[in-house]
Amino acid sequence: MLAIPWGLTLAQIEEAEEASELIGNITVLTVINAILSLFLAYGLMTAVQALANWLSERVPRRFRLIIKQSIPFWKGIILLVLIAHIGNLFLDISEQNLLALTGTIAVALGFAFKDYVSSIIAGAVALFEAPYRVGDRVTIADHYGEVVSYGLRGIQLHTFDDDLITIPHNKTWSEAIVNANSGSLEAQVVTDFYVDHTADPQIITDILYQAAYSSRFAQLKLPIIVVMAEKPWGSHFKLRAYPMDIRNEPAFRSDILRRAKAALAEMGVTYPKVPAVVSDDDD
Amino acid sequence: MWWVSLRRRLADWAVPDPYVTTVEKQLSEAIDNWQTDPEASNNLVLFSSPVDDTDALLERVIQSAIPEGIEVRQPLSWHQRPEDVQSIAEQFRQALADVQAEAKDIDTEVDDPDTLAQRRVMIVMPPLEQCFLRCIGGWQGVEWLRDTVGQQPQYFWLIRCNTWAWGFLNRVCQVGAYFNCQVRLPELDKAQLASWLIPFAQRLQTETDNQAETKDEDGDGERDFEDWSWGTLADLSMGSAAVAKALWLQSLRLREIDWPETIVALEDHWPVPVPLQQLAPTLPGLPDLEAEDNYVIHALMLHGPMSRSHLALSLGQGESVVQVRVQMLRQAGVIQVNHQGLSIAPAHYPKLCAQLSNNNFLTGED
Repeated sequence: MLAIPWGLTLAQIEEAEEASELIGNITVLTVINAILSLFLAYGLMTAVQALANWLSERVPRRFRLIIKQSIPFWKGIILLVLIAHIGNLFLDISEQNLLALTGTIAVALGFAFKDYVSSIIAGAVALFEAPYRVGDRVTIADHYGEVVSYGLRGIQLHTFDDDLITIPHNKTWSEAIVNANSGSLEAQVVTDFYVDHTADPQIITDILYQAAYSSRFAQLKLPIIVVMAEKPWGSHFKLRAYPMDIRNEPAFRSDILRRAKAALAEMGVTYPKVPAVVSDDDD
Repeated sequence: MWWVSLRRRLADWAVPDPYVTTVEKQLSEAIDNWQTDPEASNNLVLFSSPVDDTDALLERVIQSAIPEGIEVRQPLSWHQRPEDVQSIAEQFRQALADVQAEAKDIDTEVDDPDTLAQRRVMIVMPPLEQCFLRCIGGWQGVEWLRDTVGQQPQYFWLIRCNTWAWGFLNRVCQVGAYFNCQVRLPELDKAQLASWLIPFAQRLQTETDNQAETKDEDGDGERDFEDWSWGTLADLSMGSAAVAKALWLQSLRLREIDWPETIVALEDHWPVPVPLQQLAPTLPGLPDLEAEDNYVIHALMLHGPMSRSHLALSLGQGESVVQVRVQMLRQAGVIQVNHQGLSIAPAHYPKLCAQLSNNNFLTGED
């Protein structure tokens, strides 16, 4: 028989009885089952991540991104199954219990886990809107790198400096996401060149085109463009080209620069003379 | 040892007839049009794969199919890229000047239909893949040729090029817009491969049957070459004669009971002393290729046979760096070395095509 504290109304007593039915049948076996399920799910998610990463680096390039992009999907499936299983173990979800449960969860989330849940929801939305996917090159809040991991709360960016930056999904609510390749292997790489006003633009343009076409990293199926702009101190050329694999972006740019600079030097092209700027810090 | 000898003999084996008839037909038509129609193209481009050798084919076509009265000039005899690639355009200019000096009597007035038939000089150029290198200034020779051919309608130009090099040159200097009369080597089917290689196999059989010591224990001296897997060979080789030759050679085996007590080196003119068995053809497996290997292979596809220094220059890397990858690929049998330099092993060509295509490279089929 349930002990009734003094001062409770009949309605409150009924609610207490219903709540006690919401969490029922907690035994040692169900607790062990839940703990094992947690470990199993964690192991599976780690294994999926590791397997997908391993496999994607061994298959031809065109399949790499497809495999990497499937990681969030498989992790989501594992997570959903885990939540359903644990809910089934501990909760008796009736219509009234569901109302009580959602009320409790809403209060808890409103105070304690607001940002965390915001990130989880943003992550789920991002799965469909795809502002970034695993394997993409993105810029988020001054950070540029390859998305190497898509977790429950956020993504991890691998930068050219070999740093790993974790960014929560809820940044997508407020920050601009710049995606360089959006699921494809290629992304445009812009290489800047500066020459003196006296340099012949036609010769420079020819050399830059040839530098891009000569590079072993160049994607020959996509267009290569040279654009020019005049500045007070000289001419500014921009070479827009695509590497076959966006991962080769630094190597591609370096290769183009090296080839072009050698040819420009051979042609006697002069670089702009920018007057030295002396700041107070130099004193 | 025997395999090397057989490979040499097979390399000297006749060019497949379908290749000859296809090129003959197109060349005759193109020359005929050039001699009758002032608007007709004055060139023909012959496409092949990077592993096909068109020298022997061209020799046979020139011997058998050139219309009477046509004078064939090959002003540049090299089949290998000159050491200084920047000099190619100058060599082309000099070659044209030599041809013009030899043929002073050619009437350059092309508006008069009566004089069209007097145009008789056909200039055969070296393979186009040997006329450029993927570096700054490396395809000036091809650009000169592109601009010159149309300005010299009194000459007919026969140009050879592998499909991979053509794809590259078409993007960097739009050669397709200038050379639009083209013929591609046909893909050999099952019957064509059988009729081409069976005579070679029969010749080997005759040699071994003539050896007194060797007898086929089964008593079936006449092996049935017709029943062999020619269809499989045609599929695996993608209809390429060079690939088919390599795969067929790899399918030959020596039975253990026929194994001679002492094996001596087989000179090219010596008969094979024991019968060889034909197994079903298979494509050899590729080793695990690294990303850098793909660039080396792509450069060799693009340029055909090339020296190590040219390979390094086209890749934009040091020779010592390239040499490491070359050595690995040579040991794996993916590339081979001959008097022309480094080249792709024909037996690996089909799988390498798929490998590069899957890795986002521009291939000969794009």
